[in-house]
Amino acid sequence: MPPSAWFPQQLVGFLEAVWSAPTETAAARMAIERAAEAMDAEVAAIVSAGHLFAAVGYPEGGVPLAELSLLVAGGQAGQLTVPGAGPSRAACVPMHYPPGAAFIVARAGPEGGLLHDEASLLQGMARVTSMAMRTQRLLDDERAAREESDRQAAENARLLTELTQRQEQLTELAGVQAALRRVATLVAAQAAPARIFAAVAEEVGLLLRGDVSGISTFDGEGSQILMAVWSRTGAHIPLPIDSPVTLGPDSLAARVLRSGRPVRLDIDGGVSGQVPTIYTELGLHSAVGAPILVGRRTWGVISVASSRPEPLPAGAEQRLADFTELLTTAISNAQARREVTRLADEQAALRRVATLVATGVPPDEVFDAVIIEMRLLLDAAIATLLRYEADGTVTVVAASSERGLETSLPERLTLEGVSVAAAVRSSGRTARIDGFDGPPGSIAATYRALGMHSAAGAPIIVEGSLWGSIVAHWRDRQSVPADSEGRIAQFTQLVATAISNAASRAQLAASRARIVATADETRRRIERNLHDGIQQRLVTLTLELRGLQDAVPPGDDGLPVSLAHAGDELVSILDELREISRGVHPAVLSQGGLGPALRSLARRTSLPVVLDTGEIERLPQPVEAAAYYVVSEALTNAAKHANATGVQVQLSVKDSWLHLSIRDDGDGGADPAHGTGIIGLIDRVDALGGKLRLRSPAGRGTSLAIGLPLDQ
Amino acid sequence: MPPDRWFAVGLADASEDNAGQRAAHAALSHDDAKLLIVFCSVSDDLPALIGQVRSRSGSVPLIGCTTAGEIAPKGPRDGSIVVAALGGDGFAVGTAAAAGASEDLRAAGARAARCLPSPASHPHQVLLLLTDGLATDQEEIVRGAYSVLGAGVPMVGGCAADGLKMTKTFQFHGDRVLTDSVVAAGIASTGPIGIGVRHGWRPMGEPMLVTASGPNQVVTLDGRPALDVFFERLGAGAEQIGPDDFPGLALMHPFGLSRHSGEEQVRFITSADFTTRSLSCTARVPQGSLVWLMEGDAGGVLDATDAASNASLAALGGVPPLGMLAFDCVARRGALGDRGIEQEIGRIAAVAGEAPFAGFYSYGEIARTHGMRSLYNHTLVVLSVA
Repeated sequence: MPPSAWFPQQLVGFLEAVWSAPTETAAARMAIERAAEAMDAEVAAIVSAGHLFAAVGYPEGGVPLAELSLLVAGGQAGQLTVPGAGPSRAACVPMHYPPGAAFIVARAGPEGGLLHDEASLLQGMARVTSMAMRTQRLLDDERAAREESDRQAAENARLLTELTQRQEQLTELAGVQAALRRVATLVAAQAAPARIFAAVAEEVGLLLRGDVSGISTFDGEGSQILMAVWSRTGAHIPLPIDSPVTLGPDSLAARVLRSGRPVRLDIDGGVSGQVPTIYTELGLHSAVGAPILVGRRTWGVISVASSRPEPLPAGAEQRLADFTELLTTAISNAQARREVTRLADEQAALRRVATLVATGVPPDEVFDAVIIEMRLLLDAAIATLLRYEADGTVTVVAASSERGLETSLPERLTLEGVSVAAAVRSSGRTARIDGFDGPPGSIAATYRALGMHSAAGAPIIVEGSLWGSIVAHWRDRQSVPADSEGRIAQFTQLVATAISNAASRAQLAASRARIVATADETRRRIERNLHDGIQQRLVTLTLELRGLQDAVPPGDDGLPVSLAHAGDELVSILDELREISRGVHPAVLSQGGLGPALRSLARRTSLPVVLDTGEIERLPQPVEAAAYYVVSEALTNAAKHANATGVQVQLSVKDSWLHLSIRDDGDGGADPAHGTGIIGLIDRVDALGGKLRLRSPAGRGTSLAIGLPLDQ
Repeated sequence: MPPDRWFAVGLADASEDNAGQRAAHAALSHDDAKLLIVFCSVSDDLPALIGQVRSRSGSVPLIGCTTAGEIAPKGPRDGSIVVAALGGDGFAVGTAAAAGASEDLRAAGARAARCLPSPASHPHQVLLLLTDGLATDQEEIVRGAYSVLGAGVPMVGGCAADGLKMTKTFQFHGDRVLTDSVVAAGIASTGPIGIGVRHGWRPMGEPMLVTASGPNQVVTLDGRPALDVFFERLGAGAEQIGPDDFPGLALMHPFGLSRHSGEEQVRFITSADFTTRSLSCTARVPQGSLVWLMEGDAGGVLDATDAASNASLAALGGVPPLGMLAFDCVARRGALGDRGIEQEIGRIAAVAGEAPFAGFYSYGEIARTHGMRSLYNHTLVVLSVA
């Protein structure tokens, strides 16, 4: 083989090695290493001005780029510092590619310069390297582009998948939100719970693509009560609404109740219970249920069941949970509303009774009102107001039932046996019993016979003594509302107040009547004394003075004048005395009755008085006196204080009551709290058990309406 | 006061009790050891053997490998353990191991090379590399190390062997016994370091051009099947030599690759493919390379021993050596025979004088003092430290 063959063979070997490099950088590195090895050189590099593509022979991180760049700029050959050897000859061959780059080889030692053949080889190697690097660069770029394209395609596919998923999620979410909004609107509008339950059952059934859905509540006694059931086909589901069905121990509802969490269940014949049995008959395969929590209690369960072989959608539990919150709100609202309504009803009932008590109606009216209000409020079958008698019996003072006031009960009953009345009687406190037991004629026997089972009652304590009790009765234990005794006690307090007030009122009226009667009697005695005593003697004295006047001899001008003057004085005193005696107790009232007395009064009043007494007869003396003094006082007020220009007085008798009306056209604004005049009138009217109404709006006159019972 | 730098060697028969500990004990002549270098034959319980060494040396950095025969002042051995220790403040040492080297031989070489310490006070440096002799492309390991160190740091070392069983070699690092690894010790010294490389083979006839080659394979020489050219150059008819005769022939006739300076780089021909008429070598023979078939004799090989040893001493610039490490090709052992290697060790000892030495017969030798090419066969590499 001729030596000329050496060069191409070297180049072929070099080319094979460099072209096997996987990347442009690897090709550059392989080229310089193979070149250095081929030429036994220490340093080889591919460098452009300021950029290093590859270098060998330098310690890691210690490539002298500046020195190499200088060599590239300088041309074909020069000097380079070879590590461990110092300045050495270096060959530098420009490359077509990378642009501006050169292939550098440096061999250490004084004879390190390349031989002619080697320089030619290096030229060839540089060309091969350029081609390999350029090709690799293209391949690298294309590979990078392809990888980028692949990456983008993958990313696009991923994004598309994600978008599709999101779109599906959004669509689903929108459906959920719309359903939630529909239900929330119902809840907000405080629709009836039954309507909300039905709406929720339908919404979750549709959303979860179930076939049957339902909402039940737990009754705490091993049963569930179905509140709503929905079916996709609208077919009737043979399960009773609103009545308890037994909870199978392994049923979905039981599991939810036990765990307090959402539960998934495959329905098969092995699950016992009424609902699972029917679900199995309906061909339902799988179900998911979630608890409805009200407060800390698992109030009930919402469930969706499907007949399809695949499981219900993932996240079904969360969907159910979304709705259970609304259900909880609806249930809580309904409960809160019931509680508020109950409180409002109770307060209203108490206020009505309290108003009655305050207006001082007779206790019997209060008793009837209390017994009716309370029975309605507590939804009791029968309510009774009892008075304890000294002989150990009770008197049924008032009673009410669904029919209203109840009068069919015996008026007297004994306290023998077990009854709330007996318990209250012995303890003086509220009591509650379930079940009556006692001999015939007793309270216990009577109510048992009426079908009553439970009762609650509270004592009526008047002035510290047990007066009686109010007792409510129900047919069963479940009907008894919470804290019935406490609520009854509120009424017993009002009753006690009414009784106590009535007694006080009676005492007060009696006392006032006595005072008024005494005063009137005193006035009459004074008037009689005045009329029969002093007045008669003054009249006699006047007549005697007139006689003396006539008997005076002529010529004594002074004496007759004095006598005449004394006589006039006496007449004047007599007039004053008569005036006084009329004010104390007008004789005309005692003698002529109210009509003549009022006419006399009207005449003597400085204001024009229009008096309408009708055909009035003589009335009981206290009534005539009271009416006279009321009119007298009213006229005085109208003249003295009201700046009135006229007064109307009207009298009539109707249904054993004297009705008296006095109206002036004065300033108005009369206030019973100021000025004793009106209080005196009120006392006088009250003493007779009468009624007085004063109206005196400022600037619009004053009117008094008075009613006095004639039944004195 | 302990010496600034010291070098000592310990030897024990590996079959003796606590051989590792005793060899280490002999090597640890002072307290301030910086590095232990362990060579031993493949045995059943190498971790125990290294454990014995460590039981004496403690945490002193350790590298080493298995061999195809150990070299020590008392002569060549099989089934022994040789421990070389160097110490004193005049040495600074770093070690590294790159396991799983076959995944990326170049990266393993680079990783191992990064252990070299470079204190300003210790200007003389060398990287000692021990590789798995069964690795496919040892040159890649050396290239990786060169890419880290550059031309400023020489490299020496050998490829671990397994007594010609060619199944598995082991490398040691610290207390670990590894395979398929590169272990390295970067040695920095206040004293000079010398490296000698010689093979002692002579080129036969005209050079040939490698016209086709593959990894570890020479396909054609001067455009003709390599095996045919091989036989032709040896003057042997192909019909006279069968596959059984080939190894003996190849052992005595490696390739020599021409290079710009110094001796040819020798490549051991490991086998021949009588069908494709190609030759397999221990390392790549690049296409376009000018190669000779080499020939030699015991005298020439032994002369190379002298030459390599003397060259390593000469590089010390007159400073007396503290010790030597020898990386000797197993093929040279084959060429020399048992008596020959006794003589060879005697020659090394004669050159070393008082200085102790240690080494092993390897599957490849590493020496880089100039250029890039640094993997040899049929060669003796001697490292002298002063």
